[in-house]
Amino acid sequence: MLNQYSISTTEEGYNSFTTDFGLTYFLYFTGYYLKNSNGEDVVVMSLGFYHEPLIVENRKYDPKVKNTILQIITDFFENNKEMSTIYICSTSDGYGRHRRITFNKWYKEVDVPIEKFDCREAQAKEGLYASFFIRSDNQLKDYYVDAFYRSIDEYFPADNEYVAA
Amino acid sequence: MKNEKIHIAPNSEKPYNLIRHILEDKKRIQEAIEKGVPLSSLKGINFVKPVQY
Repeated sequence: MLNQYSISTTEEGYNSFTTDFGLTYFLYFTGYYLKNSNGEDVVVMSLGFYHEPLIVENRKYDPKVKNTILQIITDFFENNKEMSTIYICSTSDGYGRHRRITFNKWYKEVDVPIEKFDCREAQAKEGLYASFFIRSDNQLKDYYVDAFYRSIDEYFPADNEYVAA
Repeated sequence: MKNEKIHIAPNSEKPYNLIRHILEDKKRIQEAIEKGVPLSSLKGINFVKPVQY
């Protein structure tokens, strides 16, 4: 993808890039597991990222940031076709909902066929902005999506329908 | 369900709450990087490298 920043992987295992405006982004994947209907643990990744400094005054829109993050997500699903990942928007600064809206737009531009499943609306109202990403052509998509909702319902029990975006 | 493509984790600790675990880890990771603490020193966080550059 053109018009993006150069990405490096540190020995610590996270990816980083620095913008033209002096922000350094850190992106990492951590491993967890979902619960399937048999109570077994199913491996899943979680994507996290943030930038330093955390507080930015007079922020300017930088499309290269979006392109770079999307490149990492594209590479993840290109190289790990059977895997899925969870993304939870940070709410520590009160902008969790804004991040969710932004990410809802971004993921549609990923260069691989992926689908996003959001946590239930009642959970979002409680401040949880979690989404599950998986390739559309993953033959076990339904299995993983079911495990995702089973797992997050342990945190916020609810009875709503799945939300596919 | 039996399928080779399903990655089952053996011998996990219980009880386990996925969301709480992720949220706690996110906070610890952010604090560690801000303070320059090596991520490898963070106990209980499973860093993976599915994409490398």
